[in-house]
Amino acid sequence: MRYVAVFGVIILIILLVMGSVTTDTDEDYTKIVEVILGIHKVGVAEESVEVRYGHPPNLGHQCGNFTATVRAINGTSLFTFDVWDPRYQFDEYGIRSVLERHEQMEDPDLEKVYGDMGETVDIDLPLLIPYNRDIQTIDLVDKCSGNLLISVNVSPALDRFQNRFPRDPDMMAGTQCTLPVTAPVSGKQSPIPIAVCVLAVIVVIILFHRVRRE
Amino acid sequence: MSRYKVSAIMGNPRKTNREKNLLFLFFNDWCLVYLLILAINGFLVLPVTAIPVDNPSVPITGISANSSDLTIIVRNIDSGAGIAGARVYLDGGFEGTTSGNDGRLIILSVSEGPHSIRVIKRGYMENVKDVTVPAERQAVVPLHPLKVIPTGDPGPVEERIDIVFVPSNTQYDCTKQQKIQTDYYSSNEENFRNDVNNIIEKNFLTLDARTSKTVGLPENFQNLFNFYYYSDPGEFADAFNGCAGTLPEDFWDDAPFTDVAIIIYPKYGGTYKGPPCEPDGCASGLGPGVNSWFKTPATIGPLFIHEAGHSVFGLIDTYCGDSYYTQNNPDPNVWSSQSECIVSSENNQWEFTTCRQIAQPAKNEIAQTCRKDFWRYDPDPDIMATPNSWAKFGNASTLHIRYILENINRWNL
Repeated sequence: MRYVAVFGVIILIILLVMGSVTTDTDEDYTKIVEVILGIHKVGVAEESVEVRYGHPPNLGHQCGNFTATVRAINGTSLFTFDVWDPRYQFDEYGIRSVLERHEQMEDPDLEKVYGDMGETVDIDLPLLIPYNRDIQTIDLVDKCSGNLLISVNVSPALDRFQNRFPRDPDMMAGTQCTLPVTAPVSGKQSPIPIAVCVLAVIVVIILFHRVRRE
Repeated sequence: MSRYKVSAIMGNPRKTNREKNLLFLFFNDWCLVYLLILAINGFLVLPVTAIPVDNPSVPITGISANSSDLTIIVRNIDSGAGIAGARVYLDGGFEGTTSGNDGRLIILSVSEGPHSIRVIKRGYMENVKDVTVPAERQAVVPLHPLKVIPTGDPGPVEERIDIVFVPSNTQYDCTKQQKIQTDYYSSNEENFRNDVNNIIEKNFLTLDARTSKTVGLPENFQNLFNFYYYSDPGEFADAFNGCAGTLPEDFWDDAPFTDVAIIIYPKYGGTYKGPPCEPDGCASGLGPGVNSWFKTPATIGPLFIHEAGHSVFGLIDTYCGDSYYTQNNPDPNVWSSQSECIVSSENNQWEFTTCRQIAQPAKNEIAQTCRKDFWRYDPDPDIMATPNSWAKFGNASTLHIRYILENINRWNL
């Protein structure tokens, strides 16, 4: 009997290990809030706001002329970070204005060429922000003057995402007032991990009883 | 259970005490109860992780007259071959993985109306497709092979500085003042990979050889970077469209996690001494983060590390010129007053008499009177002042680099 028992325990351990390795490790629901702002000669405008799947860059390590503040619904600051003004770039001998080219475009024909290329703003300022369920607005402030350049409401983008991905765990967390229910198993799930666990339970119970009886 | 009962269970009087003890460990009540708990735990956990909880306000699946089965077929966009093992999400909830040669998954009883299909597979770009049931009962979701390919085994993107190298299909001849199309990378990706590996080895993995030993870098600093190269046969950067060049149009969609993108072009002809020639190196952004990138030739190491000083480590130029100056707190390499420079050097037990005003023009620049209301500490040859092969990051620059490396995930996001 003991050989059967030892063999059974070994099988049991193998089954348990199999069960653990079949547990999903690729789950990735990480999302970003992508805000594209257009820096015009006369100010900053909202170009697009979208919530999508993806990982954001690491924030909070840039120096720059702008400060972005991500705010919650009640107006509290979730986090703040500096943003580099994309109109300026460093070459080996100093800083260059990207807009020089635009400033030199006094020729209306050239303006038209750029317009036909879809260039409606002087330059884009993208902000890729880690998704947080409490995000409501993103404020961009000019560091030098302290002036608020723009306040972007991200709620419509969040609503669009929720409509498109209502079963995303983060989206479901927003409907906690309703009790969640487990989805019906419709045969699409691979039955192997569950069968392995059921088998493991049965083997343990049988072993337990046989060992006790003897 | 008594010791006697254990012996009875084992049944063999010839067993040594040691063997009996081992078997006792295997077969006492607690051991079996523990295994039982483990098995039940596995039984409970697996289905919960594999099958998402549904949002009852939005019925997705369920057997009813107004539902249909939906067949998902996942294919390689290039070869058309089916992809097995792809994870499929319906409306954001996990449904299962594709199988078979045709990469198929059947989702049963999908409710009528619009739905989103999200497909993920390692080695491919994820894709999202919208379908309407029952008008569409089959959805083919093409996956594009991964464009952003890690050079090694990457760690979590939140915990490392993610650097993506992008090949340029242009270079420049300063003597002729002419931008030149080049197929050095586009015709042979191996050339690009070799240059990237060389740059990584000589600049990032041996960063400690270019930084101050007094300050030092974090232990295993090499593991604080993820390196990738961008691979799309139809899309290349243009290193000479604007100062810092332009990245492929979809670059930020393909790699939003990028902390710094680096455009590499094969060669710069002649010597750059300012306009009218195009700059050989140029950075957009000061520090890693959103929209930070720079361009550099594959062949000039000191220029590379200078531009990396801006974009990867957020360091300020220490030469005097028409550059951007600020006190880049914390642990700056440039201060807005001499007193603050001195306080920093005293606090770090450096030689405070080294603090000096930024007044020395960049090398090769036309001699002119220059003086900024900013102060610097690092001795020359300083990489942020005069990038040459013997220049180094001094104490101040190294301390700032160390701060960046030790605080990559600043908010534990």
